[in-house]
Amino acid sequence: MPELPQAHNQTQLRTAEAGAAEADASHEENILTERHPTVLNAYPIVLEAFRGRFTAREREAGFARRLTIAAERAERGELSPATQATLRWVDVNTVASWIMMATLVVLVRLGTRRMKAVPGRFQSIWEWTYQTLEGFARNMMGDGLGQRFAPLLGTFFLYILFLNLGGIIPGFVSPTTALNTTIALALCCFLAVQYYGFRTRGLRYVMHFVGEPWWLFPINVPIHVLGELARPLSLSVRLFGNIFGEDTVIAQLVTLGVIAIGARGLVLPVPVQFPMLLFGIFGAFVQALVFTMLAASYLSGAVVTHGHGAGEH
Amino acid sequence: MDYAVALALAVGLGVPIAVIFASTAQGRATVAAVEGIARQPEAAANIRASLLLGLALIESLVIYCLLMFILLMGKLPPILEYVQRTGGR
Repeated sequence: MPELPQAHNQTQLRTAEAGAAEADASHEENILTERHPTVLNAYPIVLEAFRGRFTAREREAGFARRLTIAAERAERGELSPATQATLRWVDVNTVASWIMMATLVVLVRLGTRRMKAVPGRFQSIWEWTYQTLEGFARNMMGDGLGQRFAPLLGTFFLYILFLNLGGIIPGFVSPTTALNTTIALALCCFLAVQYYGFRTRGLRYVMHFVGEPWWLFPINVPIHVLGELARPLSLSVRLFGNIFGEDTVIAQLVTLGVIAIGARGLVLPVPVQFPMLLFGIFGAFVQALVFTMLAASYLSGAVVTHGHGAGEH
Repeated sequence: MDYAVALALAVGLGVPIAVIFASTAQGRATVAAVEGIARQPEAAANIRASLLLGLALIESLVIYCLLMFILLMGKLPPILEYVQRTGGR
């Protein structure tokens, strides 16, 4: 964290100001822009080693040498243009999302191969998971709709849960700490609502935005459209803010928990972030649950047909 | 009052003010939920689900304030430069 230099006279202040000015010119380091070391920081380095600009002599020195040079470049922040272009599309967070997706797929595959009528332990874990998620969907949307939308809602819950828990794993990154991921998830929910609304009710879905007395539609239509557009905004910002806040607090506690002992400067890391990790696990569950609950309520509002209500229990 | 001073006050006081009102609202929601459970223990699961949804929605308003805090904190001037500019007061 940046330290404030002590100035005892004007000369010191001027030279300190010059030093600080050129440090702050390009990039301001504060609590929100600090980068903390994670395993996934290896990804830009490996990418640079593959796609970076190296001289012929560096190339014939071997891949390990290129990795070292790439690590030095990443430390200074001067990556090659090709690497930066790729990083703009496939970020560290994207790679973390892929790893979590692969983990989920592998776990499900392990649970569902060679399925038996009397399930073993792994298969019964997944059976219990599916039953809980479908029960939850039926609770929120009624029996028929619940069974139909259980896969979508279950995917939202499990995927967001795994993404959020990524930040609790030491050395790993939670992709939902970036607004990109949460906006993508909220857009998926929003597009799903519109798609299922149009598919179930056809063009009469647009009558949704016209309220009860149809002649009030100049007032009702803008208000309802704005409300509809505010939903993905609030979904994404809620998820992002909660998980980013938790992860930042955990990171700051990790920095705080390093005790320097004695004149030789032995450092003793103390895990003061442990209670915050437990709260982070709880928060991950709650945020995934709230996202899924809201998605269920939006879906049931869009798909309801006249005569039936949104399902009661 | 200088612009930087006003900005610093906004950055510092934004989230706490939101937290005051949000905590009052969440307290009232919890009170209602607990009284409902006490009155009808068999409806506990439903009441808990509604409570959790309500609490998360109230909390998301505070998260919007946190987002404003994040945006504004990037615009604060560095302390040393500001002290220099205003003559060290």
